[in-house]
Amino acid sequence: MKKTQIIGLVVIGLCIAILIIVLGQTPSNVPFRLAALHPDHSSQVAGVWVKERGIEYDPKKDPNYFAFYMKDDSGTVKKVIYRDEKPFDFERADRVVIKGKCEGDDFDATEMLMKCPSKYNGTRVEVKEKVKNI
Amino acid sequence: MPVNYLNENLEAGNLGYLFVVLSFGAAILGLIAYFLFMRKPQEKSWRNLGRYAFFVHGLSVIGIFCTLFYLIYNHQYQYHYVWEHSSRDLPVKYIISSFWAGQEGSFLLWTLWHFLLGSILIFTAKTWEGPVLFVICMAQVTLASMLLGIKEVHIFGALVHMPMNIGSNPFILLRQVFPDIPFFTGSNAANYMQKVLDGSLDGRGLNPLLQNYWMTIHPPVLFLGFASTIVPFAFAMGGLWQKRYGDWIKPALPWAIFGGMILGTGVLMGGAWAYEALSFGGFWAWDPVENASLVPWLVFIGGMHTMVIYRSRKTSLHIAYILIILTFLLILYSTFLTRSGILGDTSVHAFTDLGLSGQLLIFMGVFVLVSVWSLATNWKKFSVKQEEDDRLDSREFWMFIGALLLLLSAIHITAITSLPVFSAIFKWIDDLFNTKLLPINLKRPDDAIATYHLLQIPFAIVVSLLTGFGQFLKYRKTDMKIFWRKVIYSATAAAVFGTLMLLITKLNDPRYVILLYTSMFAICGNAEIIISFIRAHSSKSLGAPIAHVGFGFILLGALIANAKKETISLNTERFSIADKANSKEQMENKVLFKDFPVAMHDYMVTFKGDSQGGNNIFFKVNYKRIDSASKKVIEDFNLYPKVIYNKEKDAIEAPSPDTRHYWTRDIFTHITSASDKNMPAYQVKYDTAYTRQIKKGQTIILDSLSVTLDSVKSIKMDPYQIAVQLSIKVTDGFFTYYSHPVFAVTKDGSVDHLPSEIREMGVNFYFMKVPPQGSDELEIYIMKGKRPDPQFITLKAIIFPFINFLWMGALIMIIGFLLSIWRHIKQNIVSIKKS
Repeated sequence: MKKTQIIGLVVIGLCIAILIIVLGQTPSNVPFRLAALHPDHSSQVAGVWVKERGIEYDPKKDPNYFAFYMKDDSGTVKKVIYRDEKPFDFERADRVVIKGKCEGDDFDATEMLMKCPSKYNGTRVEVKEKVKNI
Repeated sequence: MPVNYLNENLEAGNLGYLFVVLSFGAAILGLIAYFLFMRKPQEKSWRNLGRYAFFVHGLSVIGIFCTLFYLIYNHQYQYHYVWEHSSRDLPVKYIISSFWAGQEGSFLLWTLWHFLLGSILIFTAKTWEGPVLFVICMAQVTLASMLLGIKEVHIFGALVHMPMNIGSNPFILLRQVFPDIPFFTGSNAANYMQKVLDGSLDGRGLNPLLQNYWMTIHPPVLFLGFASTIVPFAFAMGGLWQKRYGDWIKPALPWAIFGGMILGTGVLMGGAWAYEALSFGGFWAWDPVENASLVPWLVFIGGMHTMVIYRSRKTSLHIAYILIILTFLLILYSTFLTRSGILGDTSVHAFTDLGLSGQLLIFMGVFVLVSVWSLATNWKKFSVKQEEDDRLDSREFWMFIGALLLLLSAIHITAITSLPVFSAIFKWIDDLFNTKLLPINLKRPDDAIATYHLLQIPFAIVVSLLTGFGQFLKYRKTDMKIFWRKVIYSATAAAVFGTLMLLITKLNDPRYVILLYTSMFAICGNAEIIISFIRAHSSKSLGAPIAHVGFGFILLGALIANAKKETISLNTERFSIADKANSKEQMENKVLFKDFPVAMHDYMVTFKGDSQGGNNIFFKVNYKRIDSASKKVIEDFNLYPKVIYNKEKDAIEAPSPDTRHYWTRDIFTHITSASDKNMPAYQVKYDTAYTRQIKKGQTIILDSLSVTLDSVKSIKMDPYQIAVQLSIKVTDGFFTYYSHPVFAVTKDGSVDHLPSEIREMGVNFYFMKVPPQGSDELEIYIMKGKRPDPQFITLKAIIFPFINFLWMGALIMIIGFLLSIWRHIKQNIVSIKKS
C-alpha cells in the first residue's frame, strides 16, 4: 500500500473519531426534572425568569452571588444560583439558557446565556412629541 | 382608504432600488456573456459584453452604496434600513459603520469587494478571464439577489404562486414594514414626514457596542478576506473547465496568499476588538461567529501550502483542488451559519434572522453542486504521474501532512460549531418520521472551551513542529546530515528560550508546556532560515519564514495569555452567602467602595469616582504599586472602564473594559456592577445649614469636619461677566475633599451662586457674598446632612501575560505574507515576459 493511501485512511479514521466525539455532545435543553435525576452531570436548561419572585443580588454584600427563579419549558420552577455578577442584560432577556448542575433543591449555574429581544431588532416605532420652546 | 403621503422623498429610494435591480440584471447578463465566451474563447464580442455588463453591475453597486449613504447621512428615517441602523445623535464617524450593521449593508460590502477584485482580474487574468469572471458573476448574481426584497414568487402568472423571501430590500419604507401603526394610519398620517423632518421620529440607532473604531475597520477587512477566497476558487474552476488542470496554480497563488493574509488579519482584528472593547474577558471565546471565519482561514492556509507544493513538485494537485474549493464553500457555510439564525442559543453575536435561510441554503447548494460535480467528473483526468511515492525526507511530504492537519483542525471546529445544525437536522427528521434521533443528552462537558482545546492544542503542537523543521527539508529529498544539524541548532535555541519563558511564566499544564516549546521551535527554526538567507544574500524567499515566525509568536502569545491569565480581583474576604463557593472562578468579582483602597496582586486599587460622556459612564479606577521596602509609589496610573447606556439612557447596554498595556503583560479591568448614584441611598438629605464668614487660609470647624479656605480666584465662565471660584478644603481627619463653589455675575448684573457638593461628606457649599470694601472676609453658606452610603463598583481585573506576542506575531505574519505576494507576482511577470 502506498503512503498516501495509508495517510488517507488515517485521515478518514480521525474524521470519524472527531464526529463521534463531537456528536456525543450534541447540546439539547433538558427540563429541570431530568437535570435533577443526574446531579453528577452538567446539563443545559432553558426557560424564563419568574419576574414576580424577583432577584437576589446585593453586590455590596457579595458580588459573586446572583440568584433568581426560573421556570423551565415544562413548567417546573427552580431557584438558580449563579456565582458571578448579574449579567447586564438579564432583565431584558425574554429567555435564559443556563448550564450547570442540580444541587439539592437549587440549580447551580456555571454559565448563563441571555436571549434578548434586542431593541435593535425589535419592532417598536417610537415617536416623541417635540417640546416646543417658545 | 389609501392615504396620500406627502414629501416622502421617494425618488432617492426608487433610484436606489433601480440600482439594485440593475446590479442584479447586469450580473445575470455578465454571467451569460462570460458563459458564452468560455464556450467560444475566440469570440471577443462575448467577452466585451461580459466586461460591460460587469462594469454596469459594479457601478450600480456603487450607486446603491451612494444612495444608501445619502439616506443615512440625511437622516431619512422614512426608510426602514436608515431608521433601524442609525440615529440623529450618531457621530459622523460611525455613520459609515451603521452602513454595514445590517445584513443588507454587509452583503453590499461583500459585493463591492468582489467587484473590485473582479475588475483587477479583467485586466490581469488574461486567458483565465472567462471562467474566473464567470464564477465571480455567479457570486454577484447571488449576492445582488440578497437585496431584491421579493416576498412572493409568481411563475406563469397565477399558476404557481408561492410565498418566498428573496433578499431584503434596503430601500423599503418604514410604513411598508409597519403599515398598521397609528403613525401611518392616524389622522395626521398623510403629513407624517413632518415629524421625520423636525426630529420627532428618530432612528433606533447603532447598538452602542458597535460604536467603536473597530467596527469601522474590522468588517471591511474581514469581508475583503471573504471576497478574496473566491479568486483561487474561480481559478480552480477554470482549471477544471478549461482542462488546464495544473496551470491555474501559478496565477492563483499570489491571490491565495493575499486572501490568507487579509482573512487572517480580519479574524485577528475581530479578536482584538473583542479584547479591547467587549467584555468577553479575552481575545478569543470560540464563539460560533469567530469560528465561522477561522475555519475557512485554516483550510485556505492548507490549500495555499498544497498549491506551493504543486508549483515546485507537480504533486498534491487533488488536495489543492479540494482545499481551495472547500475554502470557498466554507465561506458560504459560515455565511449561512451567522445569518440564518440557526445558531440561536449558542452565539451572542450572530446577525438576526431576515428569513433568508432558504435562499442562503439554495445558493450554497448550487455552488456545492457545481464545484463538486466539476471536480468529480474530472477527478481521474489529472491523475498526476507519480513515479514514486513521496519520500519521508522530502519537504512536500511534510507540507502535505501539515495541510491535512489544518483540514482536520478545521473539521473539528466546524463539527462543534455546527452542533445546532445537527440538532436542527435531527429534529427535522424526528418530526418527519417520528423517530428519536435527537438525543436528550446529559453528558455535556462542563467547560465548552475544553472541548475545543482537547484536540486543538495537539493540532497546534504538531503544526508548530512542522512549521519549525519544514523548511529545513528540501523538495524531493534531503541530505539528512545537514537537516539534523540545522534541527539541532534551532532545537537548542528553542530549548533555551523555551525554558526561559517557562521560568518567567511558570506554566504548569503539560499540554501548554509542550506547545510552548514547539511554538518556540517554530520561531527559532524559521529565524535560522532567515539568518541563512540573509548570509547568502538571497532575500527573495524571505516571505515564508517571516510569516512562519509570526505564526509562532501568535501561538506563543495566545497560549501564554490564555494559560496564565490571572484574575486578580478575587473576593478573598468570603462573604456570608458565598459559603458554598469553593472554586476561584466563583469569586472573581470584587467590591470597591469609593476612595477605599483595596489590595490586588501588587497593586493598591481605588475607585475614584465616575463621570459621564455621551452614552458612557466612565469609572476612574486608580492603580498604585508601592515598593514594599521603601514604601515609595513606583507606579501610579488610572484606568477608565465604562458601562455603555442605551440611547434613552435608561438601561445599561454593556460594560466595556479598559486595559493597561505593558511590554510583558496587560492589566484588563472591567466593571461588573455599580451603584446608581441617582438612587436615594446615594443622595444627601440636607437637614442643617450654616452661614459663615471666612478668610483666605482660615480654618473653621463644623461638627467633625474642618473646613479651610485655600484660595480665591477669578475664572472665565460663560455666560457670566464675572466669576469668582473658591477652593475649600474639607477634611474629617481621614479623607480630604475639595469644594469649588462659584459666585458669578451676569452682564445685566444679576447674581448666581453656583454650589459645589461633596457628596461623600454630606456637605454643600455656596459662595454667598464677596468681601466688602476694606475687608477680606467673605461669606459662605453651608448645607449639611447625613453622609450617604458610599458609592461602589464591583469589577473583574485580569492580568494577561505576554499577550503582546500575539499582536506582534500578527504584524510579523502580515509582513511575511506581503513579501511572498510580491515575490510571486514578480516571478509570474518574469515568466510571462520570457514566454
